[in-house]
Amino acid sequence: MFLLAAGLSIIFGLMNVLNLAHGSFYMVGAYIAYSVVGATNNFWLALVVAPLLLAVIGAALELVFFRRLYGRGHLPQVLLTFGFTLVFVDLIRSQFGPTTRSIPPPHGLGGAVELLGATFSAYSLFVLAVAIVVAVLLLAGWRSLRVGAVLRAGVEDKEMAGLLGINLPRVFTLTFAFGAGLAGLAGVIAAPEFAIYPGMDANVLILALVVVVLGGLGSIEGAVLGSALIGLGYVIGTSLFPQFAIGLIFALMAAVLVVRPSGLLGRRI
Amino acid sequence: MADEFQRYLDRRLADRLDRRDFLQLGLTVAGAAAFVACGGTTSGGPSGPTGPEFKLGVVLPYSGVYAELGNSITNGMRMYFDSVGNQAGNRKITIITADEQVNLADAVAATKKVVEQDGVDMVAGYVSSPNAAGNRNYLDGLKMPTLIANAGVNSLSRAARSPFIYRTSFSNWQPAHPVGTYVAEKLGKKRIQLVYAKYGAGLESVASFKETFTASGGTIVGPDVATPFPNNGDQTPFVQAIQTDKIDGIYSFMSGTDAVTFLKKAAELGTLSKLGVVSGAGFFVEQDVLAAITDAAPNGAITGLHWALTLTNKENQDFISKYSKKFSGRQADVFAVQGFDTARVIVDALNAVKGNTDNKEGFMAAIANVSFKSPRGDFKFDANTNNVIQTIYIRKTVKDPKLGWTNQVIDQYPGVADPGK
Repeated sequence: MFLLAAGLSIIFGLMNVLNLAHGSFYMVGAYIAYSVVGATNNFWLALVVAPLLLAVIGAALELVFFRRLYGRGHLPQVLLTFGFTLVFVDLIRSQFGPTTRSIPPPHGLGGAVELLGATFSAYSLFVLAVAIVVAVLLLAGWRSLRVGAVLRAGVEDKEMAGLLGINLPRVFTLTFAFGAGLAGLAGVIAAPEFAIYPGMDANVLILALVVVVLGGLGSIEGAVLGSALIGLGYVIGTSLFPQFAIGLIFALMAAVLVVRPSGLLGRRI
Repeated sequence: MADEFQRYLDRRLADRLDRRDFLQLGLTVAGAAAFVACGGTTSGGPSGPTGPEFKLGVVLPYSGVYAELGNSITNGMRMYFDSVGNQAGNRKITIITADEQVNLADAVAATKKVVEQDGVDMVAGYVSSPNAAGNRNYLDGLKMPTLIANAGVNSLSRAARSPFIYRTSFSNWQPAHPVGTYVAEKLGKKRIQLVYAKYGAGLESVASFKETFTASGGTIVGPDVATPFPNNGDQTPFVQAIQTDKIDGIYSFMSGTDAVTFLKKAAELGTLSKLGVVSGAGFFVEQDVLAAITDAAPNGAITGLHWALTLTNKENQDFISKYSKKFSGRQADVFAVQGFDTARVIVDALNAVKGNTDNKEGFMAAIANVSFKSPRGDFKFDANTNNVIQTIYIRKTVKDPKLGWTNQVIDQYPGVADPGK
């Protein structure tokens, strides 16, 4: 969840592109995992291949399509990316059919673990670990690496960053590719945990959007915080009153927006 | 909005098909004209049907979550109609499909389209129960002969039954009912917790199980585990709500994606192996689910359903092999069987009335009288409920060396009929 939201947040925050196709990248990542695991029975290979492939897809889409839409407002972007979601879901359906699929957890992570008196599935813990590692790496990179500095500059003030000699078009392409790659990674990670089916993109996209809005646009810390809150809210919600879980999440979002219109850790608008 | 777009595409697709059909028709007419012009005469051979065309409106989901079910049912129908040359009672049978989609509003629009625009003689289909129930009054009011090919909502065989609506699939009550008896008496498992997706079908199924299970001396151990439907989130809290130390097993109603994610999580957490019996309605471990979860499948699960891939009767073996030949290797499923039988009912009834469907009551009487040997066993209608009377098979989930994970028939309850109230 966090992985997905982080990618979305970076893309939106930096590039001011509202990317509804982000969920599709996630779905495609899951299907790549399904194909790779089906062919080689190697989950770890999928974990490498899918993000790379999606980064390439993301870069290509940015170069061919999104590039033309910067500065034209959000509506054309919404239309374009919504179109992509339809194209992707139909491509998937024509290629893999509408049936539900799944892949087993990688070898050694298929069982359950006793921890602090409760039983967890080993794979769920693995997902948690990956999310934490990625979050830490992203935060560190964001704060201290040169790339991070360039990105932050881009988020802060596009024109000024351009004037300072930063090659913004290239940064944009790379950022978009990176965001898509993160979504692909999220898809692979989610594949053994959830079912793989056309339509999984829409379910997760909405949650990701909520996370981003809740946490604050363009803020990685916000994405971390937002996904933790939403995750907890959703699980507690489904256990206590299953029929109202989704409503609870949106209520949470609405409440936060009333108090902090730009999200928990977002910049003031 | 996605649905909107999908509908547009479907319409485009339908247009194209119509155009092609039209072209074909044009060529045929032109050919015939040329033939007549040359002074030819047809010689012998069986001629086609001479009565008016019989238009069948098929309302099934071809997009959305139930698309696979819609496709299977349609395939089954086409397979039977093709086998009789697409004619019966001296009338050519033409299928006109409309997309039921997921929501009632779309299903109503699809029904109205085939009835009012295409002027069909009969309607068949409906995968989802709310959609079947929601179109009931409209179809009943028009005295439109209708066959329900999947939707299992009990009320259509009870308070809301109509003399013009018959069901070829099942009522939610049916597959669950014998399972209660079997689990309590034959397996001797007396403490069961209920685990189900909380919506119409899930509630009706567990209620039916409970009836026979408690009547046979079983105890339902609470609280029930009710998951949202559909459950797109984590299944862990629900799996953990199964009180493995207090029960002998579970009875479950879930299907499709929900069943897949639930069974996987339960296998991972080791919950399944702690249970004496995993029982349920057959959809919980039907072939689509087993194909998706493979080795996370609940070995030895006991479920009830009106069909199994492994049924050895000749009709079923025939059906399975021809189906997979006709549809490029697709495995037959219970929905395809329902479509196949639906088409058979239509053909037999049309033959019985010699193609006369103007007398609606007469046509419905002919439908009510249809009985035959189906791939699922003996098929006949119940005069009290307008629902099919059929054998419910008790199946055990096993790994077959040839078929992979599948359900083996270990017992059967013939002639299971919905109580009608």
